[in-house]
Amino acid sequence: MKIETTVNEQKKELNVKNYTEPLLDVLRRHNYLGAKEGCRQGQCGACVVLVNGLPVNSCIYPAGRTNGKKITTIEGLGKPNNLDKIQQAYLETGAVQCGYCTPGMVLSTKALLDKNSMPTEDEIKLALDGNLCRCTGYVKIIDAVKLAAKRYKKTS
Amino acid sequence: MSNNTVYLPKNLPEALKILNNSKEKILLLAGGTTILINPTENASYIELDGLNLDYIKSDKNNISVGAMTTIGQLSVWPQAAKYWNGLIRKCAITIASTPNRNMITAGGNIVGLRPWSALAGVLLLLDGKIITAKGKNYPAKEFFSKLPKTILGKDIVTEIRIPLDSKDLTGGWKKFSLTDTDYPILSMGVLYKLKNKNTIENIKIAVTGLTVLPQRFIKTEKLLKNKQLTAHTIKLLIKSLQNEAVIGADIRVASEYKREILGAIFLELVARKQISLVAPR
Repeated sequence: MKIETTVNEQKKELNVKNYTEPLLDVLRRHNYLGAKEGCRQGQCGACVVLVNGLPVNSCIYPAGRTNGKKITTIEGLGKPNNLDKIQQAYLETGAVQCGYCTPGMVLSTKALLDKNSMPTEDEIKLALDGNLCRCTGYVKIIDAVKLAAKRYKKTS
Repeated sequence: MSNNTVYLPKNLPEALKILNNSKEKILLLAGGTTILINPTENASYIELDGLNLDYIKSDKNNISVGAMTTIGQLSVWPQAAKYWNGLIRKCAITIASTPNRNMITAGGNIVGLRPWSALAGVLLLLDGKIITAKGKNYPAKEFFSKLPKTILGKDIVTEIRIPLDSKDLTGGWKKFSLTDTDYPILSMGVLYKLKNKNTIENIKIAVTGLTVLPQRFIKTEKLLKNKQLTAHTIKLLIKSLQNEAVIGADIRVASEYKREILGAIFLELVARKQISLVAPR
């Protein structure tokens, strides 16, 4: 089946094997490789993308349900030579080590800052509670979100 | 999952018709998290998204939450922090993680009864009601007396309804898990009203995670009524709570461990603050 959706602000027709095929598989098949496969149980957050601005675990999100909705993947933020403010903040604070969790982290951060550009530390922790990182110990990630928040201008 | 047919009804009566007329194994697709993790072979699904069941309304007597409202929506609903001493919000943010809360629905959480189905405990605690597509109106006590799927049969939960409270309640919701990302060992909600600073006028206690079904602690609630919270009475009350608890097998921890945790959380939610008012230091 085909679904009509908007990915990173571009209208797309995505081929979906069936309604409940995980969104992660569909995105990766269509070359959106930023969303990573981790646990495939909705536990690690490596596959987080935004659907209508909200972070979801795309490994357990039925792709058919995105028909008519807006999807944001990490490819929809900055480019390597023109990073988004959040990506830049992650880079500057050393919040990235192996980088596997980073796309999910960055997108969860974006969802938070789009709604609340001055989050408290508790609000940051709550927003990132579904994104696991096995390298950094989270301190620098929280620093990155704080730095991004300072630079962030609410756009939506 | 290629064997699974998904029906996309345009409205609730159509969904109900498909559910009741189908001879195949048919499941309801609410948040979808459980179904995508553990797909059922040779089953069909009825998609409930798009049936206008995601809403939160309030009037002077109740709040009504559509069954497809996500736990995430519930956690950021401004009134959730206003009523019942913020209990609904306190509970909602303990359910799963932020990305999953944006997928798990109120209806799915109370019908599926998983270890993270804390909303079922809230409904039991607040004497909520469960409304169905066939017009049934189940008090939470009845709905959670056995597995909700057994009670529902070929019916669909459309709404949960919670009566509004008086404003002077204290209490909270607490989840206990072995690690931050693990499923809860148990979750407890307590709401109470004090008189004369440290005497319980009335109290409600509910716990999820002890067995599949959520539990209310009616005997202990009665015992607590009009009791002054001293260190001595607290000890007796914890004993009562532990005796009243029905605890099922859990591969992660022993029943006795759960019983101890039950007492510790109760102490944290109710007693610690109050004891300090009366007990010598």
